[in-house]
Amino acid sequence: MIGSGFGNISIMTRSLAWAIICFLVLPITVVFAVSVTDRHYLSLPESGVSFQYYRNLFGSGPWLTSILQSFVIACASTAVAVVAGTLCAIGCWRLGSRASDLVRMLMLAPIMVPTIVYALGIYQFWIDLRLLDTYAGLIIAHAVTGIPYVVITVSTALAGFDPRLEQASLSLGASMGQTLRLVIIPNIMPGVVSGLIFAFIHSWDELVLALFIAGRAVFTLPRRMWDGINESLDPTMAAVAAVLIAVTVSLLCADAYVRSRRGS
Amino acid sequence: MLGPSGSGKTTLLMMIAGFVQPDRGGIHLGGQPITHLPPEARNFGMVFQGYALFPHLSVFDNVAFPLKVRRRPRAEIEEKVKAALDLVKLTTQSQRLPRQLSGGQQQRVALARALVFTPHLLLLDEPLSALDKKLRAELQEELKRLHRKLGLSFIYVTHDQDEALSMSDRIVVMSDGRLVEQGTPLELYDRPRTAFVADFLGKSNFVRGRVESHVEGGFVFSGGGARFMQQIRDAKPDIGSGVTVALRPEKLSILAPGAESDNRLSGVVREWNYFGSEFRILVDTPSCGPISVALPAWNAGVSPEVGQSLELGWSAGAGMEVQEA
Repeated sequence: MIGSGFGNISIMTRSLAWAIICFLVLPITVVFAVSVTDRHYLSLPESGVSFQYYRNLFGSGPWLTSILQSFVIACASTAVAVVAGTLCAIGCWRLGSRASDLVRMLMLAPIMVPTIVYALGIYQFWIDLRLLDTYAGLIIAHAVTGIPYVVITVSTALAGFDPRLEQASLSLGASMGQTLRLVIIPNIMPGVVSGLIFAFIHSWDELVLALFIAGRAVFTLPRRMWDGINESLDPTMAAVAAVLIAVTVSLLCADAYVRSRRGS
Repeated sequence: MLGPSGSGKTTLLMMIAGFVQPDRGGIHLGGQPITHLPPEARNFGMVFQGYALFPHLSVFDNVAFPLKVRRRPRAEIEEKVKAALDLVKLTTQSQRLPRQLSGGQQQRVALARALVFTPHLLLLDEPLSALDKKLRAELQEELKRLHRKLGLSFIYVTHDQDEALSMSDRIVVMSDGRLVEQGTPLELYDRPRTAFVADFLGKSNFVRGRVESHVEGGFVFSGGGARFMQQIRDAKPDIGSGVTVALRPEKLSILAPGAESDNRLSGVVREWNYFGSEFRILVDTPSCGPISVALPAWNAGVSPEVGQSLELGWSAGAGMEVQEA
């Protein structure tokens, strides 16, 4: 159905669209080529394809520790962000007043303020709270910066939610808690899942905060990549990047799948 | 509850349901104040405009919802949901999702869901407005049947006067956020007290004038240079005071030459329409402006023509004295 309109598009428009897609996607594909290089520095493969750096990645303690740390932090901060962001979006939607617009704006602040400014602020704050270089410190920071994504996607889902369903549920004797659990959440699930995926990706590849407030005990994957690029041009980095891209793409595919299943 | 759109009937229903808090006054059910109760504690069934079925739940789960949130045992839920679906003749479709059903079927599910927990009261907000005419008539009959069978009070909001007349035991007419008049359909149609109800519930012509003299059981008033006789309603109006008399189009007749009548009014046919069962004729009268007349087609006596002069007549008891605004 979507394809039926393509016949009318001129060749100009079509080639421009493809050029932009290539511009966006091609640099990423280079990473895959580099990750299978047979040489000792970041370069394209010369005489053959080698998976030594993948072996290196999955056989090395520090890299695996970082992947595990990043995963734990991403999961925990996503859980916090999804619960807080969903409740916030539902609260704003129910109030529906000027004040709630303001709250929603405020919730978006973490992605409007430059991350580096934000990271500096958190750094100062975390010194006093003794949260520097702890899981809790990074999880909280990632959760707060992940909330906006959840608020946006859940608010969008709520915009298409018929408020009469809530009234119907209440009139049928359900408490507000039951209405939330049995009626509102199931109907905005696609928005919640999208928010969850975005919040996870956000934490998974977040570098600036990790640079400022962690460094020794907590050493996330992006942080290790950053150090790796600064210190040595180890092609393991490309292998890591390839793995990261694969994870991200599969998450986005999951998101698209959830949406399409809901839409049908 | 009947009224034009924007008259506040849905808002009033929402107050009864508990979704809107009144600024002043209270709501009582059987003598008990319920104003402070939240909607979920009122135990009122409600059928919404557009049905508001839960799109993610099957027909069965939609109907079971009020019982599940009340934590009834599973066997009881099964049994009651079956009975409710039986009541609205929908037993075979219980595993479908709402979007797989037709409008009429969705309406029945909404009804079953609102009745399954034996509510104290059933509230219906223009439940049939989205359906076509034939289906609407069918469901009207079914609602009346259910009403008789269950012996439960229904509060039914509509802007359709025919629906209100044919389905109600009592009608409350609203306009501009106010209750204008209430009574049985017969009282409101036959003896409206206000010009608004006389014109909104069916159509009316209005003859206005000043009282000239009192006669036995009635009074004479004059308007636009003509004199009319009118039966009294409650008390004789003061001589010299203004009166408005509402005249149903079907209570007017066309007088044969030389026929006797309490009131007569001559005019010229401006336009006429044929509706199968009746003629509707619009007559321009010099003293009272345009007057509309409905005549049973089989017994019209004349076949109307534009520009034809004729004389209208009605008895002193046919008109109804009403209050303006």
